[in-house]
Amino acid sequence: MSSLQETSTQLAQGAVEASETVSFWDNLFLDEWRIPFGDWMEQAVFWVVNKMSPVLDVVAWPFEFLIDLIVGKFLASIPWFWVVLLMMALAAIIRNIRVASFVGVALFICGILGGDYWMETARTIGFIFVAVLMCVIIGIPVGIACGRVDGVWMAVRPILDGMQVIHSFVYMLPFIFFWGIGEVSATMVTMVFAVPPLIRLTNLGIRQVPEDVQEAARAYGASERRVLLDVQIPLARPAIMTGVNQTLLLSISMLGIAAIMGAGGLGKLLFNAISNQDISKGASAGLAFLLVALVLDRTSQREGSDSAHLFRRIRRAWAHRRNPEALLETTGENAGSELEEAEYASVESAERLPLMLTFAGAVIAIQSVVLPWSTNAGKLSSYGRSSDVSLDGSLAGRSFNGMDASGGSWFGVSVLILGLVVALSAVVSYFRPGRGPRFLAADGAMIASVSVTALAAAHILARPIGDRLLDGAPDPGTGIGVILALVGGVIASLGAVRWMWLSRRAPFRPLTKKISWSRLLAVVIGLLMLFAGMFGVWNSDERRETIVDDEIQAQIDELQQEAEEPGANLAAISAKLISLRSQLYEEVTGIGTSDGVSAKGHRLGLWALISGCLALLASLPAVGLFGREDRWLWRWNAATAGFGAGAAMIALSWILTTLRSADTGYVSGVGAFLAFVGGAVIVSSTVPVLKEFKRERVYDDEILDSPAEAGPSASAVSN
Amino acid sequence: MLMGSNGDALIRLEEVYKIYGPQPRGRAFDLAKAGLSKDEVQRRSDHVVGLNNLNFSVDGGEIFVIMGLSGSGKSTALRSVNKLLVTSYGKVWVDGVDVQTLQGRELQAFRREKMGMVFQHFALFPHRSVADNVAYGLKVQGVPRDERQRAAMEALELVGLGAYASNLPEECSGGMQQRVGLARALASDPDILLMDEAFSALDPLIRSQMQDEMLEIQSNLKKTILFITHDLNEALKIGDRVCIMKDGSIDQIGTAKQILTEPATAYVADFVQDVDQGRVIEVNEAMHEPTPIGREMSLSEALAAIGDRAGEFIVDDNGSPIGLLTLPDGLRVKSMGNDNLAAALRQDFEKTRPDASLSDVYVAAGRGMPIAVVDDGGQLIGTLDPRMIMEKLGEVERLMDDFERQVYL
Repeated sequence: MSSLQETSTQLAQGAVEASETVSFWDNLFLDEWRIPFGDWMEQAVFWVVNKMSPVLDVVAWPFEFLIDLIVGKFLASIPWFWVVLLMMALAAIIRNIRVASFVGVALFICGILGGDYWMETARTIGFIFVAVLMCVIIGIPVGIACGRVDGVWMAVRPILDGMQVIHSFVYMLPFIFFWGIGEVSATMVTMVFAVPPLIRLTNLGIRQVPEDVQEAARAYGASERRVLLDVQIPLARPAIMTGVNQTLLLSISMLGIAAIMGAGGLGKLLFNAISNQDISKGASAGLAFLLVALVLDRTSQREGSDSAHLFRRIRRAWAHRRNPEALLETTGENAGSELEEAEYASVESAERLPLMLTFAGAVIAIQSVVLPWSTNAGKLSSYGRSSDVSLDGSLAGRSFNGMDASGGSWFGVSVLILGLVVALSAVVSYFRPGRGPRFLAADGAMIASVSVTALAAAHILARPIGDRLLDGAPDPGTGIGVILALVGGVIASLGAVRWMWLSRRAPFRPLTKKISWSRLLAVVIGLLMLFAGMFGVWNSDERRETIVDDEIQAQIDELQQEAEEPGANLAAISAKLISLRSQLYEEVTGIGTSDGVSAKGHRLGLWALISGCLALLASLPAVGLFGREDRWLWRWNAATAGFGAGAAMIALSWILTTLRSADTGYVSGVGAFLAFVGGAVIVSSTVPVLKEFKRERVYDDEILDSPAEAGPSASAVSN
Repeated sequence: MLMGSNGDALIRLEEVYKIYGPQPRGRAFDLAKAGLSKDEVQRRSDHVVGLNNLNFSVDGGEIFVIMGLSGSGKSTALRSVNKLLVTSYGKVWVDGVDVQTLQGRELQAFRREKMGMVFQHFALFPHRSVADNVAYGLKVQGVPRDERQRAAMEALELVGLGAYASNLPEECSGGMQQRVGLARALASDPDILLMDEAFSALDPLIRSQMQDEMLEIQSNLKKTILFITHDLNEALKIGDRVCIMKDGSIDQIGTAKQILTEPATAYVADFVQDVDQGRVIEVNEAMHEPTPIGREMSLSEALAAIGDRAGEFIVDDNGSPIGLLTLPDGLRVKSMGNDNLAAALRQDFEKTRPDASLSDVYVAAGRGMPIAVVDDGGQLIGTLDPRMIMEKLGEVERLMDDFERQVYL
């Protein structure tokens, strides 16, 4: 200890001595002649914060106002359902119904992740809205000014370069100094990061407007304002819209940094999850994050622009921050390719009969959903819903329809959706053959009706888990509805097989006449996944019950009575209650995990596997092992896809059914997920063949000779 | 040159200069004004001369074509007329107003009322329908919607595109787009049309078709058209007068015929040497007075009357040609011992009119027999000897060769 003191005093003396004769070559020289640059800056910042606060407030006002308006007063305070509907409406207006339905599904999933996640989702959407809105308000006018006046561009360009070269962590600091931690400075930093591509692209868009078109406007006497409004902005619109989309993508990629700056939102959840190593929270927040990003991106994307997936687009947005010009060339080439309305082969009488049979099967299946699927208690769901549905026999004799949580639950809903697909296919094919989405035709009907059959069969064959039912409670019985669903599915499948036989669909080009081993391999892989999934966890029951014995219950009652008396010492009572609560213990009442094949599960994995095996059988002819005629391959591929979809739908319906159970301790397992993926792999193996087939086109010369050929039936159709 | 001579010229450029560079009115201008060439000015002052002492005037109702290669300043000259381009020096009079002094609203009003412009690459507004494109000039003028739609439809009918009013420009072919451009220029009924290489972007067949259509429309509407082209054939076909520009200054102004037959400079001569001068030389310049042979003559007398000419015509009482005696025919018949004139006459001769161009009679002349030149009444007014065509063209050719010698030797 003393020696240390000695050395330090020696050092101090040395410093004092050195200060008199400090050499230029000595590092101490640097201390001696220190420039207090940091202090200056600090003083400047303090000066600004102290003396210029009104200015800072004025700058912050629009950000605060918009955040408060959009996030606080609107997205976070109206019911979640309205937000979803609103976003869907927005997507429908800007894009189309397809994007709108995607938005609906994605936001719905964000919502059912849980209330916390929904709030943060809404905040994230609002935050991005505000950031992009501010970027647009500032970026587009600046970009236009740059595009029209060279001097402005000369001045703005180095600023943009600076904004993009300096890392956001660096310019984050002054914003935090001036406006503190929070959403306002987070929005500003996001804006600094995200606005340059918009300015660059707007500038470029204005400059790219052909000189002669502008001259034309001027030559006809247009004022400069008109040239801008009539010619420059409309022609620069694609570039500007690309710029807005870029801004959005970059704003999304800034959410993490914004979260560090205290902006809240899903970024904050992710940030917390990472710092706490909370895998479940991280996964859910990550999923919501991804979905929000997809929703915003797809909504704002330009019509006909590239449909590469989000990450590639964000990566490209990053890569081209300095030269967004490169982005313009790759987009908007393939718009409006098929302008003229094609004439498709009409439905002939032979085709109509199986079409109607299919439709009838679909109607039966749809109808079955409102009929009883199970009696006494839900066959698949009752076990999961034990905490909120009494199983002591009080439900005995009651029946539940296909969509009830205790009835068919998502099995019923899936049957309903697939049945609607089949019915719609029949209707569309009957009235507008060849038009509408490609899958609304014989093959789509085939796939959906086979899936209906598989679902209904799996539901009938599934074994109820009876262990938890109290003694004396009757076993759940199979209702008439699910049997009808099976019947409907079988009828529709038979109809669809015949319909495919007669349907006038043909490939765009001759299919390759080789055996496609790779597709067979895909089916086998899917089957292996189904097989593995069967042995994986299908349901995990970790539910606990709090056991309150009589003694403790008596004490609690006593305390509650005390609390109701006037003048009771509430603080003391609540302290006692808390200590009592710590004496309670929980008992695990769940049965743990069960796989998809054992009787403890529902054996759903087994049925999914069987559906997959059927898919493998169907895929043998489908890959061209027995004959390679185009339509032969098409039929068997549809059958393969049907069985694969059946397996996937069984797994998916099961996952959704368990999601619907209110108990957090009871969840579906990874086996079901694996089975779903396996089924999906089988389906995807057939897509390359199925998508080649479209309704045959009829060309003018054929229309001329068709009446002579087809006789009265053709004319009847045209009526 | 023709400048200033004509008091009622609608467009008149006087001593117009355009210098590109940081100091357009500095040393470069002085050098150009002193009469130095474009290259010389560029070498000495590092400024580019766009227009070098441009003087010309365009009369009302005339098609005035400025022809030159790229970089000759022809588009610059055109754009100075509606001040899409600001000149460095000189006056640009349009209908008594110096356009280059106009500013802001005055300039816009002037452009709206006086001029329509057609562009090489059509310059249609791609986001507006054909009808809206055509009505744009009127929209800018503040004409009510119904009225301007009607005017647009009229203009579209004029160019034969009435059925495409609601289409977008991109749905039309190139020729159709340029018709839309023409209709746009005609819709506001301006006095002056400025056409900047209007047909250059079209393929040859469509181009010639559009030229014909434009001439037809012009014959009804009688606009004053300032037309820019780099295609000499086009210039000669449509221009009442043609101005040939090189390096920002004018080499020659004149009618097609003057350009072709009396090129003023070696440059023009070099230019026109590939063009068929027969197109601008009329038949009456190459024909000679008819010396018809009498019907009562014998073959020997007739042959003597022909002399060394290729042949002669026999006219009826009205003076219309009814038969042709060629020297070979006569000699052949005579060698067979027949001296009857009627036996040597042929009726399958060609007729033409005195104002036809030589190129029109090339095919007929290919037969080697004289061609009868008849007036409106059908009377023989001249005989065109095929050899005379060659001789006439040869005269021009010799002129060209002289110039060529100047250029290359």
